[in-house]
Amino acid sequence: MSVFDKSYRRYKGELKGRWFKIWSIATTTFRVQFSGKKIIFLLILCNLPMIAFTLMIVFTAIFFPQDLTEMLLGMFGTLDIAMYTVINFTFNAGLIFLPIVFISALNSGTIANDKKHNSLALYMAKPIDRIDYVLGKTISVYMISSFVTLIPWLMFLVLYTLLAGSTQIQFLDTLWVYLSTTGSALVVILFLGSIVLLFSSFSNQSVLAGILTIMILFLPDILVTTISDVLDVSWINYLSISSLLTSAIYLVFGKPEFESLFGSNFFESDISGGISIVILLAVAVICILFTINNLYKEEID
Amino acid sequence: MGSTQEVLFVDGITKIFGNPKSEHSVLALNEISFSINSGANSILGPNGAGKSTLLKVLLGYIGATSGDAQVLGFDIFKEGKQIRERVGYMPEHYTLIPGVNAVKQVSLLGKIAGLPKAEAMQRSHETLQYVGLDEARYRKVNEFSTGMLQRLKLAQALVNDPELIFLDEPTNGLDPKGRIDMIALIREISKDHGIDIIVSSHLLPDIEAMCDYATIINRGELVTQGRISELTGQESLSQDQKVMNVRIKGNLEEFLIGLKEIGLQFRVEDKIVKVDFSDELISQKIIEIAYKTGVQIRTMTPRKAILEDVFVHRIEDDVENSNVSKPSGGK
Repeated sequence: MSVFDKSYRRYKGELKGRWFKIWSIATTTFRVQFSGKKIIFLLILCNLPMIAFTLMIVFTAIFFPQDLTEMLLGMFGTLDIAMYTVINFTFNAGLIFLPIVFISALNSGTIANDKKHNSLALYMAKPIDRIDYVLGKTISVYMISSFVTLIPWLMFLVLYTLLAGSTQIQFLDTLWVYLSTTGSALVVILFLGSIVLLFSSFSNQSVLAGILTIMILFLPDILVTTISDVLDVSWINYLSISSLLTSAIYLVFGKPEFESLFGSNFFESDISGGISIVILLAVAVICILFTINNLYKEEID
Repeated sequence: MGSTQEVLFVDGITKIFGNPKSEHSVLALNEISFSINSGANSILGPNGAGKSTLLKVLLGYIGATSGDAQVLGFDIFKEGKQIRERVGYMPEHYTLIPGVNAVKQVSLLGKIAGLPKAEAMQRSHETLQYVGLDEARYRKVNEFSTGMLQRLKLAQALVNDPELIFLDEPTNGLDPKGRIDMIALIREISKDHGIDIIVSSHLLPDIEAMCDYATIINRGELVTQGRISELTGQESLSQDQKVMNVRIKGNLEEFLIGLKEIGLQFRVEDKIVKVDFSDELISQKIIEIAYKTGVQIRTMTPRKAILEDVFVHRIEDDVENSNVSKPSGGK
């Protein structure tokens, strides 16, 4: 090893503040978790419904431009119903496993891997608190989760407005749909991301953390399906993750009427959207608090 | 930093693991008080002495049960972030940030220490080069050997240009060459760049090579403290059983017979006769034997105590004193 002082230099400059440090943790974690070919495959798999919708529109625009308006709006009626339908397809019980698997698989190692490699000893030797560490990790989890929610949804919406020439849809008219879409995505990201983060802080085995998260998110739905055959009460749906998410999104979109395709309001929820949002956000906050608590209890070796 | 500036002040720090009222609680630090001045310092003690606990308390990893302490003039209870802005820490155990290469790991830790993005990246390259990892900068840290990880831990401790570095067992797991290099590097950091160091290690020869001062603790209490040369000097004077190293020219066998005849114990290592003695007249006796047996004495020097002697004897004394004062045994 060469021992020389040529490259050692004293630093006299200013030091950055707390949010810069948190953001540094978030972006580095994001890059680590979001790398590799498997991730691209998972990303495509989990966005399949959105990709299918998009391809359908693009092909129609290219090969059957005269049918585009009918396809875009005729089937759904209005843009908000179209967007709501697309989001609902992502979170309808049959397809909900896609974003759950993606968010769980990519984020389960966020804290678990650090625990496994004793990274906390390095982080905590620097001028940050454990809460800053958790905040950085939380932001990273939310950023990754947006790749199966916010980002594809907004891209789909942008595609609609880009085809304004055919559809006569004006951007300003669609502004609130953008807001509704963003609001829906935030509820989903906060809820699913926080649960994954909590399970990642329980174990130093990322695979175990991922499996536990997926089980916890699916078990209520299976339980509700089983119980609802015996017990015919609507409140039981508050235990179902997919019901909570769809009813919350239904409310955020202003309870759109949807009768054109099946003759009934197909996506109307049995449970209150307001209560669902409160439950989802409360669970998210509790998960973050428990994660912080877990990290404060974690002994540094 | 001036040569006599106090970098560490510990005043009656106690750390009890578990409920203090429970008989299962463990007393790790027992009202320990001492101070450390700037320079190359070490904290020594047998396993379970409380060295690691002390470092963790000083860094704010764990809270102390009672007492006060200051690092670089900052209170460990109220100003932990200010301390960690100025202190680098090289942990003892295996630790890395998974999935990144060496440059990114050190750069991230630089940014977390508050360095701007570009500066953190530049210093990351510089410190990795400084510790001898320039060719492994872009390798994933998961693939690093133990020796490389030790250097990486040193690089991340240096990246934000600290005033003081805590080094916990820095030569652990290194091969002889790596150990010599690491000692030279740590010595240089302290001597040439004016960065104060506090090394915790059980490898006493390494401590002697790296540090000027030693603080010996045992069972959470201070045993002794001082300049290593003074501690070993005192030890040489106070040793009951001393050793005289004698190198002769002539008939070794006859010389050894002469030693035996007057009842002296000895052993021969590398052509040097090591004679145990407790009598101040030993030199005179050896000269007489040499004269009688017709050999020439080339050198005759008493063996100086090393840090290990100080460590062993002070710890033994501490245990004896403790047994006398606490015959029924405490926590």
